[in-house]
Amino acid sequence: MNSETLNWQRLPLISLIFFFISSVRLTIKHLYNALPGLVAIFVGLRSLLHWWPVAVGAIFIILLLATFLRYRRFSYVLEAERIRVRQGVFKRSELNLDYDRIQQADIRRPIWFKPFKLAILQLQSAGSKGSEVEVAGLSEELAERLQRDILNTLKVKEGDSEGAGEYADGTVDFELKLPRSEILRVGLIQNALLVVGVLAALLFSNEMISSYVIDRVESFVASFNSVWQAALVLTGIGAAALVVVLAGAILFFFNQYYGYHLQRQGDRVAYTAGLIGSLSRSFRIPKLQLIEFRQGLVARILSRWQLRILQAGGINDKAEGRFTVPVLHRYNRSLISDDLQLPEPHWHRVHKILIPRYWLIPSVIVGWVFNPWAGVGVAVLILLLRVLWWRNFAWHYHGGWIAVKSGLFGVSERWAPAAKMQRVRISSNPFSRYFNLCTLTIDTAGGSLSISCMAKEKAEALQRDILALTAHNNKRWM
Amino acid sequence: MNEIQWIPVKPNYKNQLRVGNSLFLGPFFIAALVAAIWLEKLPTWIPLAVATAIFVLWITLVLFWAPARCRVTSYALETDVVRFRLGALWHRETAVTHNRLQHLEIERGPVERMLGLSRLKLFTAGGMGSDLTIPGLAPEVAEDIRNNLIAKIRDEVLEDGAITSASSGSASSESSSKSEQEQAADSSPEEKPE
Repeated sequence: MNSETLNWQRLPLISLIFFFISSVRLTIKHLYNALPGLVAIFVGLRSLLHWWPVAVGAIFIILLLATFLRYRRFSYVLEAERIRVRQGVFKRSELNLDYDRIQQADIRRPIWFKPFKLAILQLQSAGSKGSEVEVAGLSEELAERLQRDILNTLKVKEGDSEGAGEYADGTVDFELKLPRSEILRVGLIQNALLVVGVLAALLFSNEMISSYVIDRVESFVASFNSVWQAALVLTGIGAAALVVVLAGAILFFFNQYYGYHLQRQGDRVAYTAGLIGSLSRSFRIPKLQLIEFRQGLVARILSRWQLRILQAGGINDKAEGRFTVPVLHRYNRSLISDDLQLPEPHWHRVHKILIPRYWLIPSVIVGWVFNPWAGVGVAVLILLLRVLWWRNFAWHYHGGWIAVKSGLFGVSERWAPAAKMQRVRISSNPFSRYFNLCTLTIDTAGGSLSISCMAKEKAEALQRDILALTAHNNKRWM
Repeated sequence: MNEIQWIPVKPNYKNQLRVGNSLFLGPFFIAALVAAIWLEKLPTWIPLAVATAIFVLWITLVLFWAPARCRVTSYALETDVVRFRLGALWHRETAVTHNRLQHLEIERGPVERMLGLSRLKLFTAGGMGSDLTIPGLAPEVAEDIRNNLIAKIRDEVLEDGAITSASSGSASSESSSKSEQEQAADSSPEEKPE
C-alpha cells in the first residue's frame, strides 16, 4: 500500500502538554550536558552576563516553538498489523512497528491527562535502545483496546490460541492484588539506605564540599556545652534525616504501585498501578526471556521478594521500564511461580575454590599501603564475605529452566527458559584448568546467566543438554 | 555423544595475529625510542627500559602467544550447532544453535586480504557482544559455511506454539488459587523435544 494513501491521524491539542514537558526534559538534559560550555561562557564573557534574561527568554521561546512544531509534525496510522508513526522537525522519520514484534505495551495516564480522559501509549520492540514508540493523547478506551488487541495479534495458526474475543467478558486466568499494607513495604525494601550512602559519598568526594561540611559540623558542635550533648543532637538529626529519606521512598513507591493489580488472560499478562498518575503495563508470555527475583537486605529481613520479568532487547534499560511485581511474600511468590510454570528449584553449589577468589589482592594492597595488621584484618573480612557469597551462589537446571542464585546479604535469582538461550560459552583459565573447573555463561535475549567454578564435566554435560534442547525446539522463542 | 570434530583455522592466522601485535605495539616502541633520543629532561634509561620491555613483550607474543592461540583456535560444525573456541591461556568455547542465528557476515580486513584469510561472524539476539567470530578461514571455506548455514536457516520451519506459554486452564481468581496450583503441577512444565 502506498503510504500516502493511508489515513494519517493527528493527536488532540491537549497533547501539546506532553510535547512541552518532553521538550523541557530534553532542554534540561542538553543544558546539563553543555554545563562545561556554560561555565566557560560564565567565566569568559562576564561583561555580557547582564543579558541573562534575554537568554532565558530566547530559550523559552525556542522551547515553545519546538513544542508546537513537534506536535504539528507528529502523526500516526493504526493498521491491522502494524503502527506507523511520523515525527521529527528537522530530522523527519517514519517508524513502522509490527504488532507481532512488540515486547511490551504500556499505557500511562499522567495527572495532567486525567481530566481529559487521555492516555499515553508506549510500545517497546526488541530493537536496541530508543526504538520505542510513544503516542501521547489517545483516548483511554482506544489506548486500552489497542493494548489488548495489539498483544493478541500473533501469527499462530493453532486452534487453541486464545483470541481477543474469548476474553471480552473479563474472565481472568490468574489474578494478584497487592493490599496497601504490602505496597507500604515496597519503599522499605528498595534499600533506601543506599541513597544515604550515595549522598555521603557525594558529600565527601569533593574536598571543598567536605571541608565546608566539616567546618559547619565543628562550629555546630562548638555551640554546645558538652561534646556529649552535641553528639546526641547530631545523632538525632541523623536519625530524623534517615526517617525522612525512608518516608520519602515509601511515599514515592506507594504512589507508584498503589492499587497494584496483576491479571493474566490467556497469554497476556498486565498490571495496573498508580495513585496520582497510573500505569498499565502488559506483555505476552511467549515473549518472556528472563525472570528475576530480587531481595535486598531489608527485604530479606521482611522476607519479601521483588519480581522482574524481562523480554528481548533493552538489556541496558532502566528498572522502571520493566514488568515488575514490587513486593511478594512467600505465598504470593509461590502463586506466581506456579502460574509462570517455574519448577521446584534444585540448587547446586559450585566448587569451594570460588571463596578465595579476588581475596588476596586487596588484602595485600591494604597490608602494603597501611600496615600488615590492617592487611590481615581485610583478608579475614573479605574471606568471611566471600564465604557468605559462596553459600548463596547456586545454580539450577531442571524442568526446562535454568537458574542462577547469587548475592551477599540479599539474594537475586535469575531464571531463564533453557530452550530460549542464544549462545552458551565455556571459559577457563590456567588456574581453573588446574582444578578442572570452568565458567559456563548462558546468554539469552533478556540477559546472561553465568555459573563460575563448575566442574568441567558437569559444565560440558549441561552445555550439551541445553544445546540439544534448543536445537530440537523450533517453537517460537520471541 | 561422540568427540567434537574440531577443525583448526588456517595456520596463516598466526601471522595475522603477529601483524596485529606489531601494529599495536610498534607505535609505542617508536614513541619510546623517540623519547630516548629527543627528550632531554628525562633520564635516557627510562624510555630505553620501556622500549626494551615493549620489545620483550612483542617477542613473547610473536614467538609464543600467537602460535598458542592459533593452535587452540578452531571450530566445529555439527548438525544443529556451530562451536568455536579460542584463547592461548584463557580458553573460551562458544556454541550457538542454528535456530537462534539472526544474521551472518563475512569480513576481510586489509591484513586478512594480504594473507588470504576471511572472518565469519554469526549474530544471535543475545545482546551485546553475543556474536561469534571465526577468524582465519580461507575465503572459500568461509563462504561455504555461510551458504550452508543460510540454507539451513531458510529451511527451518517454525513450529506452532511458543516455548513459554500460559498454563492452560481457566481457573481464576485468588479464591480458587489452590486448583491453579494443582493444575500447574499437573501440566508438564516444559515440552521436551523427542
